[in-house]
Amino acid sequence: MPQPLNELGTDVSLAITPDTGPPQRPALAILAMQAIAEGSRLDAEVGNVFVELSGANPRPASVTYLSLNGSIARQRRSMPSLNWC
Amino acid sequence: MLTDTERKIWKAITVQVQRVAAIRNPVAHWVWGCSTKLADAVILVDPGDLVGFRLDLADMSSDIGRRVREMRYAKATPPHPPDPLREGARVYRAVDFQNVTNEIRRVMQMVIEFRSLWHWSEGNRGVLWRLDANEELAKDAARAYAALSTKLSGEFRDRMNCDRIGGTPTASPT
Repeated sequence: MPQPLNELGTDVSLAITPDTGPPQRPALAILAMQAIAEGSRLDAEVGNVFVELSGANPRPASVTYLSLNGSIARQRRSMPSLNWC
Repeated sequence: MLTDTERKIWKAITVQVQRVAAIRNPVAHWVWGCSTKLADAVILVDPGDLVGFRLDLADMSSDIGRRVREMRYAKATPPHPPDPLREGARVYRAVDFQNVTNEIRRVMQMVIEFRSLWHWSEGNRGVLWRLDANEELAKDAARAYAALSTKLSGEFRDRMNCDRIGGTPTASPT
């Protein structure tokens, strides 16, 4: 579990600037990206199962799944004009 | 279409999916900060807290004259106000990111195994014993799985095998 910053006392400063991002901690950035990527893979896998469980026609099932998850990006992808299925 | 038992299992898995989504979200969406005293860590801050902090700063600067006068009059430093930015901030080290990844992979395995289970694959029966993050959930799931395993036997399973391979019944794997 990540540690609350307050537990470390006030002498531990906190800097948030455009420079305090991943370039300052490249090794941690890779690990963070790995977690994010695994999360995306899980999202995709859950979507696949949802579609499979929903029956023979994948398009309505995929639209339902995407709308349940509420992501704008995902909803955009489900627009018929993009024809992604 | 899911049976009641299958629905129960799937629901248990989706609870786990939501749980790992909640622990992944800060990694994906929070703002990165650093401290010179924590060379092996990053400090993630909820962007909502950052907005609130900036609003507090604006309030404070508009009120700074009165505050200084009050401090001079009282000849004392007022207690430091709580800092919501620091209160919500979390320190992530390598092991914390690895734990998030491992938790997600664990749930991914459940989803994959459920998929196999749903297709009545005999080789993937471990899924429900991995739901150990929540004891009650695990018990429910184990009961559901036991019922499902029973259902797998006999005529019903043979029929599923037959359907899947195009009409030729085969011996079920053991």
